[in-house]
Amino acid sequence: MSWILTLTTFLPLLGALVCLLLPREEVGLLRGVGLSVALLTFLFSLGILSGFNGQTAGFLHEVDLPWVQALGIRYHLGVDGISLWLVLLTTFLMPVVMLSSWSAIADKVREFTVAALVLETGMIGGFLALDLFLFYVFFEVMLIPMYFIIGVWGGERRLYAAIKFVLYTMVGSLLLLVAILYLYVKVHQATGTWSFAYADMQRLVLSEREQLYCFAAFALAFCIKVPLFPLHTWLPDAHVEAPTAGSVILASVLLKYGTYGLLRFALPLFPHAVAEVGPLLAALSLAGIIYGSLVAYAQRDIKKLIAYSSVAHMGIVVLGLLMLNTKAVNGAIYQMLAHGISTGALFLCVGVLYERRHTRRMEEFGGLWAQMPVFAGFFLIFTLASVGLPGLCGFVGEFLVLAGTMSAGRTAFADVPLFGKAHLYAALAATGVVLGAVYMLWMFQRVMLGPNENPKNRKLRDLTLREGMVLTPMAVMAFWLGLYPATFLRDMNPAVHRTLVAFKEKYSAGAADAEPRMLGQDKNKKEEGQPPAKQDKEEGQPPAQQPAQPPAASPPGTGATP
Amino acid sequence: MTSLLPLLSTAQVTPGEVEAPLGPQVAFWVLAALTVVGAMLAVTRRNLIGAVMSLVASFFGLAGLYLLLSAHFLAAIQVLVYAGGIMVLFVFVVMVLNQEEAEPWALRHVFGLALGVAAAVYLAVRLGQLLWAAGPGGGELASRLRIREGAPPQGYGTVAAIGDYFFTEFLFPFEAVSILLVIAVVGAVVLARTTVAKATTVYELPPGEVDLRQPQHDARDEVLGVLGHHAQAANRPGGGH
Amino acid sequence: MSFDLEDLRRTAPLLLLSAAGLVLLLLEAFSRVRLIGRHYHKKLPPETSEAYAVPLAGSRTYLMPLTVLFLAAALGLVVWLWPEAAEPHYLYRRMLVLDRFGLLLSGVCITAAAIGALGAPAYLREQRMEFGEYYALLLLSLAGMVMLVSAADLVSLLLGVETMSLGAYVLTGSWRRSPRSSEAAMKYFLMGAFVSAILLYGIALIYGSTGTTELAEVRAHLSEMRSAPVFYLGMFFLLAGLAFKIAAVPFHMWAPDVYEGAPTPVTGFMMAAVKTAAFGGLIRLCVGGLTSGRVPEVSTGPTGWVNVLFVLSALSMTLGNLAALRQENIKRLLAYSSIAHAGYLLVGVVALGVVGDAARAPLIYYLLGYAVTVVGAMAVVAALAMGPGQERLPIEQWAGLGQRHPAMALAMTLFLLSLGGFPPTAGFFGKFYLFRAALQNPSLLLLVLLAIVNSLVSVYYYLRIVTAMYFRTPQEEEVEGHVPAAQGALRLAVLLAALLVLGLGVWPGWAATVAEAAKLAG
Repeated sequence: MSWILTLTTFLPLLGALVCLLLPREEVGLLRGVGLSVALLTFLFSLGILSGFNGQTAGFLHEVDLPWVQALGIRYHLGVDGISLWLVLLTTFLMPVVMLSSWSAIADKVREFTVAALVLETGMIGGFLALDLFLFYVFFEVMLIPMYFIIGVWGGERRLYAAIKFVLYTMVGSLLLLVAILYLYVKVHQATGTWSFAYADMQRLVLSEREQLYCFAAFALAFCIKVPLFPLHTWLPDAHVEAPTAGSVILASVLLKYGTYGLLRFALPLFPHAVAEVGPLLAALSLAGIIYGSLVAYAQRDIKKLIAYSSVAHMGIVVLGLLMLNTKAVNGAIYQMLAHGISTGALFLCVGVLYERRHTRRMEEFGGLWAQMPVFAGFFLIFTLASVGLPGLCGFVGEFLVLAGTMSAGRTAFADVPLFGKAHLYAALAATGVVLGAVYMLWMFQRVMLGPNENPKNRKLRDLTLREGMVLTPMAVMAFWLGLYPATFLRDMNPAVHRTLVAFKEKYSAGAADAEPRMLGQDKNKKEEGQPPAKQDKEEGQPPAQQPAQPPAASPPGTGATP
Repeated sequence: MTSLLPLLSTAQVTPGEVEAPLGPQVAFWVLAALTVVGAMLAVTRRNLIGAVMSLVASFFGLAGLYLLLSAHFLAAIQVLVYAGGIMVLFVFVVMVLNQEEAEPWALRHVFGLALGVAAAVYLAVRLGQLLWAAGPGGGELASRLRIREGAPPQGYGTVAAIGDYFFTEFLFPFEAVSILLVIAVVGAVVLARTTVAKATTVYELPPGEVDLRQPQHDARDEVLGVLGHHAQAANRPGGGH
Repeated sequence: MSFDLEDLRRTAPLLLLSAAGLVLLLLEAFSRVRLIGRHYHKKLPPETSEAYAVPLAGSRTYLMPLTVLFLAAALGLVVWLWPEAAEPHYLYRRMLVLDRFGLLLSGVCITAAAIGALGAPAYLREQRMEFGEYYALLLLSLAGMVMLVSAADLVSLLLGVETMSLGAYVLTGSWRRSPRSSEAAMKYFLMGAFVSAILLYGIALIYGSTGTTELAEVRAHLSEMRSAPVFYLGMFFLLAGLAFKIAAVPFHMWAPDVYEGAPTPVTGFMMAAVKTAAFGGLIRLCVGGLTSGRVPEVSTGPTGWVNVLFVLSALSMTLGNLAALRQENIKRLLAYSSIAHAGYLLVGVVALGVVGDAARAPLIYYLLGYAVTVVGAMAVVAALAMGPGQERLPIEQWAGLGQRHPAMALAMTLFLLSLGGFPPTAGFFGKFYLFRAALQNPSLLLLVLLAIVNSLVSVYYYLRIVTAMYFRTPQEEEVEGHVPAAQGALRLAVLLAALLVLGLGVWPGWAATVAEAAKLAG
């Protein structure tokens, strides 16, 4: 089954090439091809699920081929419980996005389809790459199509927003490149072979100082992408100016690259640096949660409001990741998925409104419930999902993160002296959640409830069939994520567990003095052979072999079901 | 030039080298000064003939330097080709151009003049210093100039020796220079040639006239694309302007 | 016998290029040129409205295919000599050397020239400046480059530089109707002549202090040089001369004017081939002549060439990029970007001095990637000219090209992304490969960081062009009825360059392997 990842990754690119060859007048055909390629990709990506049974903690469906032999660059793809759902989120969203832009993108359809499909290849490949060079390539490949999507099909200030988006991201990613190169050279020094492999980088132990610098580069790149509080200023511009499709992809997938990168690369590779600056990052994420909520409350533009709500929600994700216990990290990943669904769907809803009225100002609307009941229903679902109502997708993630934060001082990694005042963190984060409810519901009230006074709103059509087809799958997923989290947590948990164990091991092995060294150079094989016994003792967590009732999954899952 | 002197002073004395006798030393500095001053005058003089003549002086200085190095043939060629042939050409060109002579002592050049005089004085002072120091018992400065021990090899600097070099050691550069010269000649021709139009037969139609020597719709017009449009516009009665 | 007959065979590419240049010259002289009449057109700007006598289509069109054929043959000879060059062979009394490094760089220059030549006729005809000597000059200049990159002696190095440059001067000035072209040629020639004198002076000083002009001998005599200050002065002069040729700050003043004024295919040729060859010469000089384990201070000492080039590198990329930010003319913009790229490449040369041979392959790869990229970009600029004397140079005129000329715009985007260092293009891998080599010594970390910051800055102005092409609405000022010169061969040139840029980026392995094998003699 190793071909499945390659196929999933490059099928959209193939589709893009096909579209490039089609005549540009054939708008319908182009849309059809785009949609069917995206759908086909989604179907293939479901095949990735086949190997997962809730117990596999390692990478599945691995492909590991030489790409540039002389430099140790490999084409190495693999999927584990962390990346699995993010890939599926991507492939699930793409057909929705394609369908949603059916009428919104009337101009340069060929170019749009090509850009979107190339972007999809970049997004899928980035989540799957296990070679840091390959990851970087995919990470960068995403940039250009998104730049085009914002710049060509965006709003009035699209040029500014597009270039700002690219420059912000490039600042981080170029530093990331230097840090990756640095690690690569260090791996060479330690082992004598050139390698970008994730596994090798994970085993590489650097001195605390080197870790700090490299972590700074990694964290900067990913925190810009998240975006973490002081680095978030590109996000509102990009979101507001991007077309609906762009906003959805940006919010649902591209932002996830920040948190995914933190979890996959920044945290496990530099545990000592995390121990040092983790509290700072956590504080920033708290600041982001509260600041994002407050600013969102002040917005008059619906899209901008949702954009700032993203800042707040992603702050919760980062907070969860930094708590470094299974519960919180699981919650963080879950929140990534939930945010992808709920915020993406909210952007789609705003797109629906915008197509009808060509404005997004809240004061232009009001009382739409009577006019567009179906649409209002969907809108309510997604608003509540975003707020975190139990039974909908937002709840599980937020709950797990908050619960994990509460216990961060005591459990799992207590000997990693990170968070003495975890309760305080949890309390502050909870205020953010409350504020989230305030501004989202306030927004809903202003747009949907009350009297329908504006004459322009009297003749608005309710959802068309196509729009319904766009929003329905999103609503289904919002409920699924909210009602039966076990589906997702089952495979997520062992992978998270494994990542944290590796983190702990690397931390307790101590930082290198001067020369880089590799973690357990000779006993590495042995450890892989018999992992559980030793780990369990240290962990204080249920072993990874009991996936049927993942410890973190059951309370919210059952509790939320009415 | 003068800035080089302190650099030279750190040269170590290596066996096999002796101090140059005073005569050649004096000759070297005088010739070097002649070369440099001549070159400077050549680019600063506004009077063309004056400039060219300064250049001749510079070339002679250079030829003298070659002689000092026992490169007799090279010195002769330098005089013949540069000071002789090329300079004569220059002078001819200047004469043919027949430009009015520029005012040699304009007031506005006082600053430049002052600078030039200052430089010349400085150079003279340094030269005098050097010569004084290089005198008998001059010691330190004298050691700055050394030549290799013994006379140059038999026949060094003669036509035969140079020819020998050209066809052995330096065969490749000797041949490669021909490529350089070809490029230079072709380049000069390309750049100097007037437009193709004037060099070859060209026919031009007065506006509105029909060229009877050519068929009305020349197939070449189509081949030429855009030009074809223009051509047809010009050929069509009343189409021109 | 003053040389081995084998030597002739081993310099086959050089001989072929020279001979081909002469053949083309003769063919051009003896081919009949038929002209068609003068045309006045009111839409032409005043400075171009003088009489245009245009060679008849088809009269000398065989020159370009013939040139490309010759270049392909020369490339074939390079490949043919490749196995033999595994061991260095010194030729013509150690004037030249046949090694894989020289061969590969010759190959890069020839490839760039061939792609450029493919696109030239359409442009030259459109600009009414077609002349047959163009190809002869191109080939002879190329012969100079081959000489330069395989020089084993300072004399042949100088000869190579001169032969290469003379051709470039003339080609720059060959657009006789454009005052900018004449101005550029004048500047280039005057400064170039001055630089030749400096180079020669440097060689004389080196000879004075080491008693030899042969690079390997110079290196051998470094430890017993007669006068260190004279030697260093000579070295600085040589470095300055070559820095001029690669357009490194502060020896770059000519570059923007020359690159802007020259006919576009010539600009591409100069940015790609001349730069590559000059870097080849610089590497030969620095590594072959000025790096000795016994006298490390010549390379890594406080006044060693590594420090000099370090400073030049930092200055070039920073100033080049900052100046490029403010350019409104695309050729000028790419000229400044070319200065910046000289800075990046100098990082590699510095790394050659500090890290050693590991930086050689990245440099070669970068040169190859850069050469095909700029040749392609210039071919696009040439293809989009809007009529005689009306090149599409101001960036605002590129507005809306994504709609009007989608293929050309796509190709240009690819080239710009490659220049900016985005994956998966040759430019990205080149940067990565180069920085990887440089980072092997921590002392270069700062320089690499500076380069990274600079490539970030450069992204801004490269994307400005992309932005103009795709995000802005087109201006309606295209000359009516004008068919852009983008015809067969020119399109082929752009396509070839684009394929190479992509191919080098997606499958960098083969080029990297070849570059690794391209060992320097000595």
